[in-house]
Amino acid sequence: MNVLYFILPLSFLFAAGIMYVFIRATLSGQWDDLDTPAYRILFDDESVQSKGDPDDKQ
Amino acid sequence: MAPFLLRLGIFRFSMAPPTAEGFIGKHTGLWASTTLRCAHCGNEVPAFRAPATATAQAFCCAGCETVFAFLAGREAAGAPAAAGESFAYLDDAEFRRLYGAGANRMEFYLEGVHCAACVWLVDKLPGLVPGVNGAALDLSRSVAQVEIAPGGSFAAAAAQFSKFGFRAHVVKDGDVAALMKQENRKLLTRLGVAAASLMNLMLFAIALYSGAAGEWVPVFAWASLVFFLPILFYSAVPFYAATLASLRAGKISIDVPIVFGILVGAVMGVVNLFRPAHLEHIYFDSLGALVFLLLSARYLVRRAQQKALGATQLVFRLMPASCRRWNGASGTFETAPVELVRAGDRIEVRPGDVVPADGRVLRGASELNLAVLTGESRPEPVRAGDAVYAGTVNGGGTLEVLVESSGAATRMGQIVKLVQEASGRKTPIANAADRVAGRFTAGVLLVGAATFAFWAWRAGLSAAATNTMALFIVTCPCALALSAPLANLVSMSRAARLGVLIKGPDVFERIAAAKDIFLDKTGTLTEGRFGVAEVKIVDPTVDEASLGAAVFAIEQSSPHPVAAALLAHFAPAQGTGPAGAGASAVKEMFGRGVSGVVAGRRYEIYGIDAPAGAASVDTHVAVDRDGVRAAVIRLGDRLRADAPAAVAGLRKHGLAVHLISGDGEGAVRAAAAQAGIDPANVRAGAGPEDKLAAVRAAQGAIMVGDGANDSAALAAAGVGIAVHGGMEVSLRAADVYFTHPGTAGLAHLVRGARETVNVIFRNFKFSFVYNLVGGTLAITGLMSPLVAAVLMPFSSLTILASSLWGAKAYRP
Repeated sequence: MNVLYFILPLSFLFAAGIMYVFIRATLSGQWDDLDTPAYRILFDDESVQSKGDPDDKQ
Repeated sequence: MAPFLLRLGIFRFSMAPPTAEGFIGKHTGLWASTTLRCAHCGNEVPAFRAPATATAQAFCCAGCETVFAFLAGREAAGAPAAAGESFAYLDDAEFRRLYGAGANRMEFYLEGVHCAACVWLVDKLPGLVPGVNGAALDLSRSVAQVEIAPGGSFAAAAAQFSKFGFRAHVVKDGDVAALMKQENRKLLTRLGVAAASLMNLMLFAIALYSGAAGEWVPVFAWASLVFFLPILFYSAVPFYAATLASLRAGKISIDVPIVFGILVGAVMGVVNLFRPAHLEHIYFDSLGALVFLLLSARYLVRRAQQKALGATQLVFRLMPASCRRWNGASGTFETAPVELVRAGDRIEVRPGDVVPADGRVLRGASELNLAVLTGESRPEPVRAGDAVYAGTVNGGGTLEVLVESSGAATRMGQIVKLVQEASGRKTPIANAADRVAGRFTAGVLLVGAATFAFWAWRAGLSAAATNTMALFIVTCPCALALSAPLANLVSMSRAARLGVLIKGPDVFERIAAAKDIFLDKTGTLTEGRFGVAEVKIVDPTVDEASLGAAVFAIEQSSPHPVAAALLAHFAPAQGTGPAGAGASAVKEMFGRGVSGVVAGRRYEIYGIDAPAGAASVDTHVAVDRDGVRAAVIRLGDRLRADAPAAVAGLRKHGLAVHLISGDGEGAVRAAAAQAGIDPANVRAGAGPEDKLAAVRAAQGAIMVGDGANDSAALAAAGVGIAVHGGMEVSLRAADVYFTHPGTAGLAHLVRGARETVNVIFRNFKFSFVYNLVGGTLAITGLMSPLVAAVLMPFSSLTILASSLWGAKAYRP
């Protein structure tokens, strides 16, 4: 059971990391539009468009 | 977590795709006819896009048609929106300052975007229009964001959208949209933090439940607390705010018992961390699950609501974006944004334009369609010296107008003000969940007091506290709080697939409670335009096709509104080629009509008095061939084909159907008789204020309309329903918006609303049963944390299943 002394803090770190990534993705607008990207994946040529959310760059 | 939920079929509220897929496909009985497949993408073709001839290729949207034509190497056939529309005002510096989303960015609402082809086309914009740096379409909102290089032109981009076949409207309240986006992200962050914390919390909770013992128990318990803290102090904050607000208002909303349960549980859990004997009674996992489930439901309801709001919050249709203003310096009329027009300006109103401001005609003569203000669809003649009003539509002549008032000072502006006042004074209804919450809280507190007293007497204070706290935690009304939002959410998203956008979660309860329904005539019950209602062939040797071709040829050059209606009716169907021979010897018969020779036969077209027995409000036109009466054409506003069925459907649901219109007595009575509305419930000549008063008098009534003159009544009614083609101001005032024309969906909506309310009460019953079981266990001291941990999420899942099963009317 001593391995728990190592695993527990690791799981805390892991959880914190996941939360950090999720919050960053949310604030950068990753989940703002859930419909269009599903279609955009169908186009095999390079599409020209602004990346990320323009509101954040202001 | 939530995004994954959103990806599940049930939580998709896409507005654009459903118009053709779900709606037409699965509910063919309602609006559509047969299944027609798009020649490009294979989606089903909505009824209103079906081609005129059976052999023609059908497309689900303008995007598919354009891409198909592009691939076939030719220009798209139909891009009617492009004709004559000028976008020059988009590049006006003042307009950009007012409505631009940043220096080089502007958002456009595109009418008719629908599928992958549309996304592809919009993405291609930078390659097609020089000066455009980027374009991205948000299909769920139908909004394209266009970014241009310095010196680039938004007008060119908008013109290209028109060429694709999408009508482009500038999104004018970008600030509100940006604010909503920020709030969405914040709520989603809270939800994500709750989900991640809960997952980790569960690891320790399961370890504790499955028999962890000895030195590890306190470690796991404290670890649970670590993961519970973000939920308690970050994710659950919206509930605290709502509770404070409701307590300040002196009311008990459903948030109050929730927060009570969370706080009691948190305090008891922390206290028990320091009492080794009670270490397993910490409940952090149950409370975390509760916060997570409630937040998920709220987030999803919010997205569904915003979809409906977004579609109707766009400023378009009511007022033109630009007008032609006299520029003294250059001595010409120049395009200017309508916001910049002031009293004293001279403006030019060209045929078909919307009058941009109130004023007086200086020069020119034409007919104006005043339907916006009066509901009357027959054009009114205007000459120099007559007053004209903003929002009315010009007919065939060009007018020069001296502006007397503009913006909020116009009659239209007054109506908008009336709408705002009416919305503010709408009687709030206590929704079902909040109504139950008060009694629920009182009941739980009462039972809690009794439990405490009993155990204090029987087993001492410690046992009394433990059991009472357990009661408070286990009765924390998670399931109760989920009941209404989930049921509303499922019905809202399924209704959206049918083209019925619902703006608020309590709309279903309001509809179900209504006893009266007021229908507007023009545009709602009728088609709302002056057109050919009936062609009666008198001479059996005449066939309608050749007669129509002749009328079309002769009326070509006439500026009269009757001519415009006849031309629109008899215009040759697209793709069938030119309409045969042209007319010769066309002569205006002074004050009577017009005559001409087509294919060697002489036709006379002239107005006649209404035949006996016909509704006197309609205009009748006779067509003579070689001096013999060939046909009689009746012109007027035509009743929608689905109107009688819609009225009958509403009656069947026990609603009293009223007709209220600004039109004259004759026209309104005739329409009521045709639609099957009781003459006692008909009211003609009602202005916006009369409609408002009538709706107010009938408590909680439903109002259905489309015009600006209906909008105050829409805002004041228990439920305002705006039908497709309505004015922007009415869309804003209404709670429900039909994306399809006509009234066919009304009865279905009423049925769906009643069934949704039934689902809510079914959910209440389930949650009541669970609370009874849990409460009994807690009172008797038999509640263990494991039972609580199973019981609480399980009751929520039952509610979820019951809600997903949903209202029968909306079941796919």
